[in-house]
Amino acid sequence: MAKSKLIPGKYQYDIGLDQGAGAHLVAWSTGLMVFFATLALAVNMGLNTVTQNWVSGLSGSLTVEIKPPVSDEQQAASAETVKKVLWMAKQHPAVEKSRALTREEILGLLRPWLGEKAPDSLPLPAIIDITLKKDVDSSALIADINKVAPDAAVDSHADTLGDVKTLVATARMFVLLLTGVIILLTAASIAGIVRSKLAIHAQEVETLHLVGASDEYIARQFRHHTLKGALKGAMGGVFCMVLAILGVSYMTHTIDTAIFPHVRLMPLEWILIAAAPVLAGSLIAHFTAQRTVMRELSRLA
Amino acid sequence: MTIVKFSNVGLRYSTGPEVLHDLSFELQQGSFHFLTGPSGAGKTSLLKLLYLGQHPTRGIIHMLGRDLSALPRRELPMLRRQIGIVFQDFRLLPHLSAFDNVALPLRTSGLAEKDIKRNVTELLDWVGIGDKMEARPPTLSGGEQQRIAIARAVINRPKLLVADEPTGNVDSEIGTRIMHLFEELNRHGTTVLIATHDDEIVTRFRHPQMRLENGTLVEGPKRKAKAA
Ligand SMILES: Nc1ncnc2c1ncn2[C@@H]1O[C@H](COP(=O)(O)OP(=O)(O)OP(=O)(O)O)[C@@H](O)[C@H]1O
Ligand SMILES: [Mg+2]
Repeated sequence: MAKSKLIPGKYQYDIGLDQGAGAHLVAWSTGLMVFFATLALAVNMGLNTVTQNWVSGLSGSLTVEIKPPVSDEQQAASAETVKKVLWMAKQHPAVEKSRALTREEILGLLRPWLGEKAPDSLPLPAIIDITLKKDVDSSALIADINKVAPDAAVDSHADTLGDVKTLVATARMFVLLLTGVIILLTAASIAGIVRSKLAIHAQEVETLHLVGASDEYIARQFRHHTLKGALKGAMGGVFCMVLAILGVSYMTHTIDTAIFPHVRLMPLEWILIAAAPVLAGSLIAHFTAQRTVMRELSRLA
Repeated sequence: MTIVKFSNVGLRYSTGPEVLHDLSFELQQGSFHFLTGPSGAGKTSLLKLLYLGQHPTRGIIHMLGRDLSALPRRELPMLRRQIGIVFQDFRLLPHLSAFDNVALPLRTSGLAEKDIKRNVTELLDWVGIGDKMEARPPTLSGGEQQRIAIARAVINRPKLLVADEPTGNVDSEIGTRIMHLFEELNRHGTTVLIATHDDEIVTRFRHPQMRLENGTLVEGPKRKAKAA
């Protein structure tokens, strides 16, 4: 490869690779790949954090529901049961804290079904929220609750947790699959760009061959050119991605997130997000170019 | 020593008619031939075979002792670096400077940059392009481009030099100068073959002829063993 005499230290290609309509195609496709692949990666890691928070939030708690009373004497019995459960829970070794939800809180939970104006006379179930100590088995506690309140429904959230876990696992798998497809598509488009550059410059490539250039000598120029475009694109892609993530986390911090834990990334994840895609994107472009050129050149005479 | 040996070589382009028929000849080291013949006779096609720009459709070519049909692809560059080519249409790389075009064969063979600079500058001075080393071919005249093409062909002192109408675009003074350059190279052992229409050159420089008519060799070094 010629070192230009005019601009020392700057690569000059023997072939006019910097000219023509396709000059920025590699940068664009690598940039888009990096952007979407990082987006996918961020979503993947975000989902991971979300589930972990959810799982630790939910698995550390029990909800005890005592059926709504239909008559006055049941009303008294129900209140009695609530007291008994609370009293039992207070002494139980597995329990961190426990409390009965107020009527307002229960109405709040039911609002989606009852609407704004629930009649005052509406019988409501009593709900006790129990927070467990860290890493304790809740089955003994559930048995004890059933002893004092045989009619109470105890929800350990196991079903919900199972559903959430399956859902999240499916979503993450889908995101990974999507990442793979994006990477394959980009590699294919880079191969296409390289092949069309080879076709456009076929005569110059032939001349290089005829004056004694090896395939490697020619491939080096295509590789260098592709890598240069890919690096530019990848850095652009990551830059846009960082802006997007900053935007999203700014919004999720200001929106009240009672249900959703904050989608927050650890410092290590930030570094990964910035460096890995640039490296990966450039490597993918580099090796795709090398493979494509060498294969195409070997087809020539 | 035999540099080139053709045995019953024929050539056709894809599905077209055969343009070269049954060529058998040898070129000895240090020989100097003109390749003549009417337009369309197949001169350029024969040169293409000689500079490994085309595979023969039949027959066997030995080049610098190697059977081309048995030559692995990765050894082609080494062989090509020993062949200097002046193309009929020059084929300079348009966005390289005159200097970089001439330096190309040296760079592809990995010569040190300071030796490249010395050699290329010297040769470009000699062909009269010394003041236009940084110019790009499209900004130069046909004659200037031709001289750059010739400089590129001889820069690494090839064992075989093939030139297609190398004096076609220059005035007779520069044409003479170019012929002297080829003869100088020939004196140092390079085998030279020059395709030309220029009868004046052929008669003035008195080298033996290879004559093609309709793709057949009607005159040439078939059985002549020429002294070096
Ligand atoms: N690339 C090609 N594809 C198909 N046919 C070709 C090709 N190149 C040359 N030919 C044919 O081969 C024949 C010989 O052409 P060639 O160029 O070798 O002749 P030439 O002797 O060099 O002519 P000129 O003196 O005009 O340069 C011609 O009939 C031409 O049409
Ligand atoms: Mg010709």
